[in-house]
Amino acid sequence: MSKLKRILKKIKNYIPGSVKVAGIFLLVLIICTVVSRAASALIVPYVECSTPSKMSIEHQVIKTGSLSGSGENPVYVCEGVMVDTVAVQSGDIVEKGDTLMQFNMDDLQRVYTEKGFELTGLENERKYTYTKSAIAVADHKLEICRTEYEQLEKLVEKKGVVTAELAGEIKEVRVSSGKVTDKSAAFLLTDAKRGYIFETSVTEEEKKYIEEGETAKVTVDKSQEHFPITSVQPDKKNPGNYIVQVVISGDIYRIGMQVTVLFSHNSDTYNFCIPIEALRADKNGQNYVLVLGTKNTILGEELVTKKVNVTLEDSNTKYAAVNSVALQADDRVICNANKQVENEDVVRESRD
Amino acid sequence: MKQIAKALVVLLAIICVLPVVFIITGAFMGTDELINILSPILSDGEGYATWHFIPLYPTLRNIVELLFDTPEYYVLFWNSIKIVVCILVGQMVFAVPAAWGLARSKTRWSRVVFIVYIFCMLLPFQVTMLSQYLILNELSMINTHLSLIVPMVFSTFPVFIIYSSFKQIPDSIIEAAQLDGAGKLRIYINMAMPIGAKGILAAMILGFLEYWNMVEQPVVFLKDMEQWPLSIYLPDFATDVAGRAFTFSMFSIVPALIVFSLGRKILAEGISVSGGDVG
Repeated sequence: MSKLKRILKKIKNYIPGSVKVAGIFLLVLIICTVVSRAASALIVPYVECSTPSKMSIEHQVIKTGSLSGSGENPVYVCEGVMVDTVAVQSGDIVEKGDTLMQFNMDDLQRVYTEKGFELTGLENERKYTYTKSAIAVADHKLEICRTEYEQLEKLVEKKGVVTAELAGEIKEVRVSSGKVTDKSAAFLLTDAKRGYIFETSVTEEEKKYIEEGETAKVTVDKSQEHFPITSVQPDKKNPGNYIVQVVISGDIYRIGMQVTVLFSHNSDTYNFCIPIEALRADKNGQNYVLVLGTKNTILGEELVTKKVNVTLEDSNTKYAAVNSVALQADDRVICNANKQVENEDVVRESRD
Repeated sequence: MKQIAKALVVLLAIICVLPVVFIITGAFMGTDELINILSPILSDGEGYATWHFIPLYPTLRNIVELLFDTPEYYVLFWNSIKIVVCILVGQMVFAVPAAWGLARSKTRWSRVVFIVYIFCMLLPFQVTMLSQYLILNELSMINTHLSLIVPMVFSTFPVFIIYSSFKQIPDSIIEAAQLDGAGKLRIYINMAMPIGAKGILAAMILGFLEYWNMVEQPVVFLKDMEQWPLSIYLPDFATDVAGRAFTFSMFSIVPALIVFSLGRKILAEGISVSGGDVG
């Protein structure tokens, strides 16, 4: 070790001062070369690129709402009896056997008794009818009276409670407490077996992607099915909007069930479709994209960004269809970068 | 009279040094200050350009940016070092023996060759540029550092400088060595080179200064920017990068200053030796 030190000391003494200065200068520059390269590498942004693809743009309109029934079923009740209470109102969903209304028992009993007397009278009358035509008329009257009597009998047994014969939605209530029933239907009920209707309002913009006759995807829980769009009509209450109707059928559906409906429409095929994040706009509102190019610099061939003006033809939340004279099918369009990039910036491509 | 002469010399020296002072002070000026004083020249500013020999707001920003944020500078720097070192090593291999051969030869043809050498030395680059380009193109050396190195290795200027120093060696010393049994190679290595070292070093130093500042050949023979030496790279001299341009120039002259200070005495002695009996 001491011998080595002596040799080094001899060399050190032999080397003139200027050579030492030159050596130190070169050493400093070697270190600065490495440091500057490292600093430059830290500044250069990493970019992710993709090539334009030929595809159509899918437009989706998603609406959520509840199902209502299609078709109407009238519910008739005994005529001439006073109503005590009405248990439902318009819009209520009822199952088979649910209480719709309650007759006043005193009045019901009175009507029942009167009907009984009427029936007895008609039976006696029938006994003393001999002509064919008279017999036919008498039989007809008797049948009607007997039917009404039986209905009243059933009602009396059920303590005057009228129940729903089938499941559905109460569309209209035509009776009210304290009033006497008449010949017309007391309730209008929708029939669940005849399918369900999903109705929603869409804007003018959304209506572009919805067409009568196309299918919509209905999602409820984990189930997804396709059903036809049956109607697209202007909304009279909200000018500028449209009412879209989809008829849905199936055992899993119920009136009032919340469903999500997806209206999907594919546009024509475009030659240049890019990810939406690749589309940029300058301060004049001109749309452009940045593509990857190369440039010969002192550091060799480097990747640089080049601005290409484009015209936006169509877009959705994921893709944009553009048109440009300068854009080529094999151009690598910059989609993402870890730093801000502008035109003519030096970049590195991320291969992750 | 002596005082006046001295003052005149000092004044002339100051004028010669002024460009270097401009560069050094400009390297320590900030962008705003440079824009204020240089805008009449570099952009369409009104009035006249001015200069502050002591910066109003000195800053190290330009130096830090150049040293740590400009990797291009180091590419050019090491290109220059590579080109110059290769040329000087090549000249040691070819020019020194050529000068020795011309100096020791007593034939008439050696004088003719030497005169041709001087003639070639006097030709400017622009005259031989086209022929050089054609030959280098045939040899596929264009756009490589060999296009600069090979022609300079066989340059006539170092032969001229070293020839003169070899000519000073007396014939009697050579004859004595021959009588002692020394061969030609031994005489060249053990006698000619040590004795002519000053001339050789002077040629090397002058060569370094010339090749470090070489401009025409790189512009003509090199196309790729990554091949360029330091001497021909000039950033776009706009006002917003003026500070960096000054710093660049300042650091570009440092190696030449180091080499010159290294061989200042040798240079003076070597040139004075060479200025002796030429031919």
